[in-house]
Amino acid sequence: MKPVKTRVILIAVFIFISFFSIIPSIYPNTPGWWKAVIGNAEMHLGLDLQGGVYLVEKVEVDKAVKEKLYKDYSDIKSFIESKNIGSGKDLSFNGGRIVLSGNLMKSKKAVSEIKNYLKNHHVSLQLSGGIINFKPSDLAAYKKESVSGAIEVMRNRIDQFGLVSPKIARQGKDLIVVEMPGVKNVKQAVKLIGKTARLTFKLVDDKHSIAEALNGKIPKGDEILYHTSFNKFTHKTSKRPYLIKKAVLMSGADISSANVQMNRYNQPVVGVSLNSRGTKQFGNITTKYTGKRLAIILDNNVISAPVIEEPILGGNASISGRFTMAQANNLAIALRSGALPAPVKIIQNNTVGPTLGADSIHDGILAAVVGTILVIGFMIFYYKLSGLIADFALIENVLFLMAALSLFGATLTLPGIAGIILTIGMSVDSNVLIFERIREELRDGKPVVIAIENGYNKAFFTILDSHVTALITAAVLFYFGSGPVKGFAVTLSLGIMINLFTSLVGTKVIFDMISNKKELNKLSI
Amino acid sequence: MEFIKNTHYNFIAKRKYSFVLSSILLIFGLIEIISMLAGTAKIGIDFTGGLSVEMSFKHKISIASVRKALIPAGFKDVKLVKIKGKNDIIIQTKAVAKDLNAYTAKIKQTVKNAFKKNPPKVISSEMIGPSVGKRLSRDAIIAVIISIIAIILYITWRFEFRFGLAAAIGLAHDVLALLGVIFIFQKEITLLVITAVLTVAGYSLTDKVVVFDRIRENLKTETDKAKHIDLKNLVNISINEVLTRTVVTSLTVILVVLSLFFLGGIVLHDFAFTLLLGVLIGTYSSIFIASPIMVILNENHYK
Repeated sequence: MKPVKTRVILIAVFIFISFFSIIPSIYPNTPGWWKAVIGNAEMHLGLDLQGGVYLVEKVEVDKAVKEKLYKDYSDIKSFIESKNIGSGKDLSFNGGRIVLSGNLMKSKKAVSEIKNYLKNHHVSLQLSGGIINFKPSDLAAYKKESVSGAIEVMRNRIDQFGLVSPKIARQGKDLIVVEMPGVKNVKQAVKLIGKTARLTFKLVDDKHSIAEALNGKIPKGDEILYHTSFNKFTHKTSKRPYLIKKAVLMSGADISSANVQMNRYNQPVVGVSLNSRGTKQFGNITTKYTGKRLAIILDNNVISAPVIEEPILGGNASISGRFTMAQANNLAIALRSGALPAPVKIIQNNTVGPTLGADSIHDGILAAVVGTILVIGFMIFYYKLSGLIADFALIENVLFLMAALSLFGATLTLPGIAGIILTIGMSVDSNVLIFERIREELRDGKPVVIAIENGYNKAFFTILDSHVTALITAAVLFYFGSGPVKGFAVTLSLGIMINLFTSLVGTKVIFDMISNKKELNKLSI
Repeated sequence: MEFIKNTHYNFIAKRKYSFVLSSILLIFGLIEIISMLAGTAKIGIDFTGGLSVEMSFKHKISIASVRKALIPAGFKDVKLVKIKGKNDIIIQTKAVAKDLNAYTAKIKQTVKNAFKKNPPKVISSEMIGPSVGKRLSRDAIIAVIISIIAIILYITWRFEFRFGLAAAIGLAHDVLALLGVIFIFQKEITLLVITAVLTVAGYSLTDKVVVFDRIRENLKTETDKAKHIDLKNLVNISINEVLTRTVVTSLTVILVVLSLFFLGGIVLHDFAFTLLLGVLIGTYSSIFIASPIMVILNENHYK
């Protein structure tokens, strides 16, 4: 007698969990508590099967250009002041251009030194007629770069999102087309990929009164920014004004990683690590301004403005702002993937139907069903009753894979379905290996029960080694691949692991149950 | 039911023929890779970008009917998107940058001719960029190279170095030969085709490990002397012993792939085609390429 109880219970539990997880993906009216139990995980249908949202976003390249010039303006100004070439007051930023005036413009020496400086440090700028601006050819290149940069950042963010599989492409000069499957999560996704995510650190002006500033008396070099918070209980958003010094002490460009952590009150915060340059800069700032309040600003919103208690020299900081878990997670993704080089604006927002016509979907599903039936039929034809047992493992395989994909919130596309069907073809491989071994044993005249036992034992390492090699490939594809390749790797690795279980445990237990019931003298194989 | 019983084919002796055949496929594979790098290979709209034309129809319109109108006119890799709540369809297609306007006009004309009773109006026509980042191809290549190294390490640990090396060569052969076939048939490299190639890589590895596993097992039972003198014979016996499994497994996969090929419709056609040839190449190379290479590596080792 072989003890089978534990294994039968295990398989039964897995089958139950699988059905439990798949049903919300298939049946839209599943009760809310049910969905909540599995963490609202659901399989989505891809753009090709279900359609989704078709967005056209405009990259505001002019704003990007202006901001770039403003940054360069600060650089040039500090160059002029540090080298004593002239007075910084004679350099101003006006109407999107950098303008020289007063002595700075009159002095030939100053002009030539600035020209020299530009040549070495800001190649794309030129000085002529007292005005510093982009060279025309470089301006076009910079605009183009900001659009492709924005696309690249958006793709980065989506890759971190997991298996949503949207499409992002450039259209015309400064437009980006984003196609996203499903509708439920779209709002959140759009918010995330469209977020400029420009993180800056600025100082809070504690010397002047915020009340006066709100009345219109804003001190020179200051601005009013707000901290918006949402009260969960009263459902009210409140805004709190801060008087902030305009000068940017540091930007988020030097963040090397960001992730969600829990602080000691068990609230989510975003932990940020800085690269070596950022560490040094942040150390200097926090040393210089110990005791003052440092505002952490994301896209003109004050996230928090903590007092600098002591110099932070280690290059690690955490941003707390009464986030929910989801907010903290989105912020971390946005900070990790970098800031958009220019703000984007949605100019077209359409819901679109499936990209494959009903006929294509119909064909694909028909092919899948026929393929499955062929394999099931072939196994019974070739291995008789044992083939039926392998077919049971095959169905288990599909069930578990669908459940896993639902729990991962994967997006199912027609090629994805084809891939699942393909794992069906491959899933029988392990059982074929085992059955051939059993047949060999039987040919050698071994009794049935021993032949089965030997067959499984001898095939064990073959199956293990072949699965592990395939799993290594899948893991490497996941780790180094991007976009659709990553999604493919997830499905592949899930398929391999599930297959390992169903072929080694799922079929063996049935053989054991049969041989426990009666003396096996012949095996239908 | 048994197809094959007690076979004694001398597979290793056939290696001259298989090496010639593979060399030809590999040359075509290299040509495909070079033309991909040079930008002359047939590459899908996902990678190249193309033209996006939005058309508004007077009455209801279905994607299937627009696809049916475009394909006979020579627009093969078309992506169609229907906007809900309107009779608008967005047609994305690959276009050669030079004759952009002519191409747009051709699409307009084709659609207009096909829907005389439901005349379309062109709302916009613009170039679109690739929807797949430049990173994808680079990342995929890096991933394949790293996984080959990882596989050599794993198989060396579990088996021996010569097995690992032979499996890796076999894998590289399969991917390259499959690209060769894609070149010969002038198929377009799309995201789907890339997925198929990666799937084949996984299949081919499994297949090689199964054959090598049997060789490893038989090596254990042989005496040390016999091992090296007659490895050819031992490998032959091993391949013959797992031949049924090889045939049955490829058959089940091929059953699925054939049904995708014949019934899956135009969208899955190239995908199924690549898979079909990939499975054939993968099975063939386990027997006729990877195993002989293992024997050759061994011969050099004990000379």
